Amino acid sequence: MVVLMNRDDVDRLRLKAGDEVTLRTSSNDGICREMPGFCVTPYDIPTGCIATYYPEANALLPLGHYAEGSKTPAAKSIPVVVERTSVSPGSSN
Amino acid sequence: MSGNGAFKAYCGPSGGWGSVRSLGNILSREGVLASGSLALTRQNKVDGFQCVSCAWSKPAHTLPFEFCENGAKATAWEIAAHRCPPGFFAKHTVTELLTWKDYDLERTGRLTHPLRHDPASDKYLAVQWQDAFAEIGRELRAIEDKKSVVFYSSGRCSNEASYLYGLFARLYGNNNLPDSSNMCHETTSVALPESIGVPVGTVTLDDFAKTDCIMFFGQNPGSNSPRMLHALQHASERGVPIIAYNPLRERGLERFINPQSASQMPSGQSTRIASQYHQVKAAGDLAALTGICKALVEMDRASAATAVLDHAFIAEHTEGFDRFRDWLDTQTWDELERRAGLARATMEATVAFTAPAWSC
Repeated sequence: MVVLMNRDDVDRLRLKAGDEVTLRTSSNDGICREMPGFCVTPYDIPTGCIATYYPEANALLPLGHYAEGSKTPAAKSIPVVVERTSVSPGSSN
Repeated sequence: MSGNGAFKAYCGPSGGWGSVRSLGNILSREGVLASGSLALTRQNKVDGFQCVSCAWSKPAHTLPFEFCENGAKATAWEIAAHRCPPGFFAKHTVTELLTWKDYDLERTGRLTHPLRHDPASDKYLAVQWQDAFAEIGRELRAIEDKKSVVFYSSGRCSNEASYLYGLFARLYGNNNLPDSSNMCHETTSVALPESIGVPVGTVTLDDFAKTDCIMFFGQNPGSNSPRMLHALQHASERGVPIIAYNPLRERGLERFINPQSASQMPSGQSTRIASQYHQVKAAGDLAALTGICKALVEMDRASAATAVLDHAFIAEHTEGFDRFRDWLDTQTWDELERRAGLARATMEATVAFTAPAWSC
């Protein structure tokens, strides 16, 4: 599993390509939604935004987080916290 | 999802020899090199079958090979030669299979028997079809509130299977029939009637050959509907402005080598697809569109001599335009820039670039 991340964000968060991170949904309903095992992959994407593939990050989507009217799950807009769980092999950091 | 597989940056265009090579690999991996090649000649043809990989329609005038790498993969999976009999499940517990990679699970092949999970051994055990039907029927009958049951399915099931499934749900006592397409298209079904009065897009394939401008929001044709790249290639060659708003740089929207072109394949010469590519922030598309509308209205006001907007059309076919324009005036560029993650000049450039298309 990969998480696509802007190179500047990778540096700012003191991560390295290949580090393994856990993504945790930032919400205020008291439920912990997290998914471990994403490999940090620098990609051409705006800073402050990250991307993963379906369905790997489904666990991060709160059920009550959907579009008004259509009730489509708002999967493209989930605020998350990125936490490093293990350092990439071959990284000196 | 190849787990620990290497993720290498790709610098070439989309399509080209890479997609042809990949096709051969897919067919031989699924053990269907001969039958798969035969099936693919009928894929998306008038007398053939609709591909289950994406929703791009069957065109009236087809190419010799009317399928893409993803579609070939989907067909190869549909007719996969590999089989996964009950003996496989006798050897592996569910807890163990949970540690397998999705790719390896898929590779075991098609199930041959109905299976039931046995909590005592943590294994799937084969059951007779008759027993499976009887047990499912018993469970469904036992549910008191028939309206509480949901009959979910994939939007890519065949028409025939979907029709039978729909009859089944109605015989049971409800029409709770969501499918995976709802996930993508329910927003369209709700918002489009409010704006243009119909719940689906009104563009046909022929329109791509006639349009003066193409704007993309949140669509990745190279990954999701690769056959669309042919229509985009022709539009690009006609000089049609193609403007993409997408957080991710997608190669299909940048450059494409037509794998069926006798001139492009030997030369490696690719076609530029998008004339402008703007990396909007995730979920910033609404702000970007508001900015584009605002820029358009401001441009119309500034050029009194040649109207940018078609005021006669607006007067005859729309309502509430004045309120919309007033609302646009209350939106500040600072806020729109922050939410879209794009400069005001970018949104204005989109309007300036497409102005000839707007006014014809």
